[in-house]
Amino acid sequence: MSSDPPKVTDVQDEPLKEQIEENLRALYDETLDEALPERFLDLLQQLEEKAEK
Amino acid sequence: MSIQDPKKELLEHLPAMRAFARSLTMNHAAADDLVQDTIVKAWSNLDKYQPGTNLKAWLFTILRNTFYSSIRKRKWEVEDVDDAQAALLSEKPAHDGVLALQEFREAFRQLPEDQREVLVLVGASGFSYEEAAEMCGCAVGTVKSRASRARKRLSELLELEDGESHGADDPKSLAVIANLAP
Repeated sequence: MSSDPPKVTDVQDEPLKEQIEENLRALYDETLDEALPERFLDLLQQLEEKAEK
Repeated sequence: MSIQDPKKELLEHLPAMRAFARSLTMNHAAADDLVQDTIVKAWSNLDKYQPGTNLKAWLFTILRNTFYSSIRKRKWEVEDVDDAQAALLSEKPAHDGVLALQEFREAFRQLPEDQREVLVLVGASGFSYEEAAEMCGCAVGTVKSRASRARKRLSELLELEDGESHGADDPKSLAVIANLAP
């Protein structure tokens, strides 16, 4: 299944592919490194309290 | 094995859920609303989660389904001017081999969401093509061709030519610069 050649010609240039991956990860990691907003902690707290009732 | 402490386990995946949500919405406020909706849905469906399977994949699937049903309802405008402004302010200088992140972000923004989705799933969040296909409810071949199209479009938008090196220190550019010298 995974050995089938892709139907669309992919970017052939490996360094270019790597550059794209590197930038994708940089964008993604920007968010991972951020502190979580309080609203999510509050929400989970509320859900947990509701579940305990 | 079941989820011992759902709050703790959800918390663990929240940063990744926010990152994925942002790549779908391209809007910070909308992304956090999407994550909030996803948490509520996941919490009320915890009994449907199959213990031992990938919790992150399960959460991402709920998140993307929520996203696609909400854009069908046109709840959000995908374009967001504030984000573009904020991004400009937080721009980091480019270093070797890395495009200016802002330039990349703008090119990425122009991709259709299904292409952004697969690139982030397989390129940044570490899922396999097979896992991504399962999450998107489509064939592995579809995920692969979407990713290919997305990379191709990105390289066009960023004016990177396939098969050539880039930057002022490649032989071609140096030759051009040498010819321009008096």
